[in-house]
Amino acid sequence: MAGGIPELVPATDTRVPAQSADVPLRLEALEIVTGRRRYPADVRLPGMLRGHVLHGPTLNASLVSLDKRGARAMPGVVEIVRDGDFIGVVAERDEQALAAAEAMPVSTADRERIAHGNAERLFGL
Amino acid sequence: MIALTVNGKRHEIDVPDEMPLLWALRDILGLTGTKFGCGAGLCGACAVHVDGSVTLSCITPVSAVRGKQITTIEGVSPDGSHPVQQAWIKAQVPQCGYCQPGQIMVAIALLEQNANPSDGQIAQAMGNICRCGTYERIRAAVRLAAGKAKGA
Repeated sequence: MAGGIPELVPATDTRVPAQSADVPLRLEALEIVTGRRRYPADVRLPGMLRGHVLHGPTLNASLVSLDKRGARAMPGVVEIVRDGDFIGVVAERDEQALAAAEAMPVSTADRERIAHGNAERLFGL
Repeated sequence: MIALTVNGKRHEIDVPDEMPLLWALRDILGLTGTKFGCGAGLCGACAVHVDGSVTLSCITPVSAVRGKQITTIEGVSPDGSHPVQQAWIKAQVPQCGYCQPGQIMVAIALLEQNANPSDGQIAQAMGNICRCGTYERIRAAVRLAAGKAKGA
């Protein structure tokens, strides 16, 4: 079944079987090995757009500039979002967002080296 | 229109020639068991079989598989009864499970070529990345499935 959100099972309807050699510990194992297990990226809802995030080449890279124009005009591209060092490409389909992200000229620069273990600076807190 | 046969069923789809097979499977045919991992043919999450050989669908244009027989994880068995799937359950391989469809497709191809691979051959063939680090159990499951294939 493509699309839609998996239904929640009421807690009263769930059963944890007694463990024995024949009972898999992972109740979802059968779903996983058959490809039926649904992950967030597998959910399709009507009118849903898809996104791809561009990451800097290094942990402490900052975004100097990006040229959205060419990528914005590519097939299926709906929006290119910049928020500080974050770049997100929104498109009708995944591969369109990916293609636009790959095609976009982006220049980055390394910030001052981050001291090892300096969580405050590492995470910008 | 591009004609392709997926899990024994023929489809004609109207997509650009260069669309990666992965997205034709996931978005056009609704077969989301095949996963997007790296998008660069490095991690193996997108592995399917094309005419029986492992193919990385994220870097394979759909036009390259025109008329070929494609098998995805959904086509391995309708109910998880394939010996490799059973071995995966029994050896409790999956953790998050995201990479496992690709791992299983590679394992099936390995065992079809070599019914009794050595640990070295398993390690060499099973190059898919698993971020949970299930490699030990993958090896155990391939051994288990190899035993089953021989009727052991």
